[in-house]
Amino acid sequence: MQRGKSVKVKEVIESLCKLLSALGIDSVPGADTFRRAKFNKEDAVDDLWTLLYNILSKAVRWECSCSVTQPHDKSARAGLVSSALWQCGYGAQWLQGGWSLVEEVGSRGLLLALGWVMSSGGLLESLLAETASGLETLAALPGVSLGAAGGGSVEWPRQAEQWERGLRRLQWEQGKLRFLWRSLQAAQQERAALLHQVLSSSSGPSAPDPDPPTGSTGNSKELEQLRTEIRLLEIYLDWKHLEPLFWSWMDSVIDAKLADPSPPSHTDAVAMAPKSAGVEGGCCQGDTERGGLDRLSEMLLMLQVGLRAVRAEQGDHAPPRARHRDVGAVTSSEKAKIQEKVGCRLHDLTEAYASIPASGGYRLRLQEHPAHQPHRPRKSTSCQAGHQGEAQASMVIQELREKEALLLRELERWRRGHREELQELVSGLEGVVLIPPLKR
Amino acid sequence: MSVVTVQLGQCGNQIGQELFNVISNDSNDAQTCSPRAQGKAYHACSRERFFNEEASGDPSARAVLIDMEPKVITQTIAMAAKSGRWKYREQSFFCQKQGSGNNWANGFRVHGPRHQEAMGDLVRREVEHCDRLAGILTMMSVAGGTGSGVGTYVTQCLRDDYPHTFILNQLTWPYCTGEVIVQNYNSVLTLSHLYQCSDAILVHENDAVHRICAQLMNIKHISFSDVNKVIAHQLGSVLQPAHTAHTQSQYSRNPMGELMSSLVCHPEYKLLSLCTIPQMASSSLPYSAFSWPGLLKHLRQMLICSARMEEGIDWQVRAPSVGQGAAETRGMQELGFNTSLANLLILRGKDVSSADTGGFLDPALYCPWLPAEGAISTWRSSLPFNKYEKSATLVSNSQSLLKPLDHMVGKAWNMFASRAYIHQYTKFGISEEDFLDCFTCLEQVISSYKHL
Repeated sequence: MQRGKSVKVKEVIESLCKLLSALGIDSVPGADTFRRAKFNKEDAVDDLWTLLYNILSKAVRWECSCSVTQPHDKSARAGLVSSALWQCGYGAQWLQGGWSLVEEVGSRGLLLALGWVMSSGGLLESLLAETASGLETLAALPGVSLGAAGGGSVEWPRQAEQWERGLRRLQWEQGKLRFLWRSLQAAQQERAALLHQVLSSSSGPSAPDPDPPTGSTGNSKELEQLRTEIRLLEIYLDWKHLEPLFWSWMDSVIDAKLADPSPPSHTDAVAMAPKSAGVEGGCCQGDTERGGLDRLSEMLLMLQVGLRAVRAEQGDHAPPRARHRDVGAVTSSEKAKIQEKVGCRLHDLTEAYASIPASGGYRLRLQEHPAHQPHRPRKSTSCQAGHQGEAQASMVIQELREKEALLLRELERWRRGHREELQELVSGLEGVVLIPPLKR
Repeated sequence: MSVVTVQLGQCGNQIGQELFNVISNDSNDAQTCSPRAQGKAYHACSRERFFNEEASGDPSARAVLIDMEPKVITQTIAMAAKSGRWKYREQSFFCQKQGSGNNWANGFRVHGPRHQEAMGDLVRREVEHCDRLAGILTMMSVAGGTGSGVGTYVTQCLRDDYPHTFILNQLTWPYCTGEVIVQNYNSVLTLSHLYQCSDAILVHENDAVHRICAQLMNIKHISFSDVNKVIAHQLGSVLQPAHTAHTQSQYSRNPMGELMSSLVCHPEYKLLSLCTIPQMASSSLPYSAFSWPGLLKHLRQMLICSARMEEGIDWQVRAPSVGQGAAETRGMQELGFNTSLANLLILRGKDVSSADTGGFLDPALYCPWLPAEGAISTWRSSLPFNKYEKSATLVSNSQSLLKPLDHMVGKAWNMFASRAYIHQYTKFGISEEDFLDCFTCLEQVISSYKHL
């Protein structure tokens, strides 16, 4: 960053500090702290921890057990801050690496974390909306997303119609309330006008109340509040105006970090929030993204290598071994023998059970016009006419009868075989009389 | 608590004058009614609502007259003065030498902005004379140039100047067969703009009122004055003092607010239609007798079949039974059933406390998302209105204006599709995109009412 610009940067950071303190954040450090943090100076660490803690404790609703923690207890504070950072998606190295790294983190790391917190989820806007609660227009701003990390999604009612009716009813009632409010306001105005008439006629025009009663102190209080809010909004607008400069400065912080060779383990911990890209598409940011990209592509490479290794191992397991056996252990004569055996067995099987797949292959269907005959998927080996898809019922019946006869013959053969076997066995046993089951 | 009336253009000024006539006559008649105290209270309330007490003792209307030509305003002021009972305040009018030539864009883009300050000052002066501003009533037609164009502009300015005041627009819709060739353009532009800034739009259709004149009043040669008298009578029956549900013992101090919170709470539905029963020639009034059950039975059927008068009601149209689904309701709507969002029933006259309004409590009359108890309100006044011994008026936020609106938008769209007369509007800065926006807005309104 050029020298001429750095003066401007100071202004930018000062406007941020002003806005933060206007938003009710305690002990906001000066612009110089930010500058020193950019160069990772030790003395800025404490201030930044405090700032981060104060901002996060405003934005995130701590669990009640956490809120009692002494803000001055440094390690507890650091613990809360780092867990909150982790919750809102900041994944720097020092957050992943255990407690020792958290204690050792430099001011630049904290500054970057602050950038992350500010850029994610419209933190400043939500704080602004909270502070200036009287401003209805701000109600439309997106809420802080920090605390909503674990929130469930809204469950829509099942019946859309029911829902729409409810919605219309709600809009109606809301309109009614609006009208009621207007009526009440008109009544109030009337009362005020009448009161004014009564007062001015009873006390005369020459005696204005010297000491305005509570109503006017209430008014002045309101006025004061309005003024504060207007001031706050002005500060916010100033900041919005200068914000792009801040983010480009933040990019320069990251550059400084990347250029800094001393803690090499930190260089790959940088991650940028998605929103900051929308704020300022600075060129420096491309570098940080490139850093992240490098890390990702490295990871991808590792994964690919791992995947390849696994695949190679799997490849080793099955096909090559089969190859070995084919080529080495089995001779060609053995192979022919096996093949013959297999073929024989297959033939037997087809003959014995041919009926089962054949009968399953038919499907009742309406006869189609010959022109629209579907393409037959395969040629049947059975001796039927070949009209597998659209066999006539009589043909099917005939075929089924033949199969039945075949099966019955086969059954008879088996039975006979088994009976002979049994008789043989029985003849081998002495003193045992086996009575065969009744013939069915 | 008072209502400031803004009369715009020829139509608005003429109807306004008739309205003040009706109100003045009616409240004067009330003074002679028995019991005396009641009549006096009615008179006082009506006076406070619509008239200033001038130092001279003559009541002057809380009204601002706006037109771009002097002719009608001069006539109107003269007619009011001639009545001898009330008048317009001096210097409460604004007029120019040159009219808007039936061009909405001319009124909205040229005359309106040019004279914004002068017109605003007139209204402000009237508002400052009110102890409490109950609301602003603007009256205009949608067909012409001044009433619709300037009127729309003035309504927008009023909304800016008085963001929390109730604004009721009384619109007169032109005859279908129309006297102005671009009346449908003007209507579409007016309605779509008013839908954004007005709280409620009360519509009188010239065709319907004309039929009332012809069939109920037996007028042979119907003039604008006759039509305006009927409109004024209907408006007066709504705006005159009445007891509402919130004010049992005294007259409502918040008529506009109560009207709106019973009818137009939902921002998508702002169109109100009116029907009154009975309506007849004043000469036959003394020979007629009515009973509340008969009047209310007719009025209910007029609501159901969306008729503007009791003559020739279609008694075949019935409300769907309550348990039926949306499909059956659609079917009944095809057959002519008019689904209501909300209704306001105003009963005036003898034995009004005995009138049973149970027929209007039927949930079948209303859309499914608003319970009938919340959708119907009743105002009562035991004094006769405008010489009618008994009369009932129904202000309805229902589908009854759907058909004429659809017709109007359809005709305008056909003209727009052939780019007819568009250059007359573009030369004053109303672009084709503006037209498209207006069509979109009204299509949304049509769709909302169709799916009620």
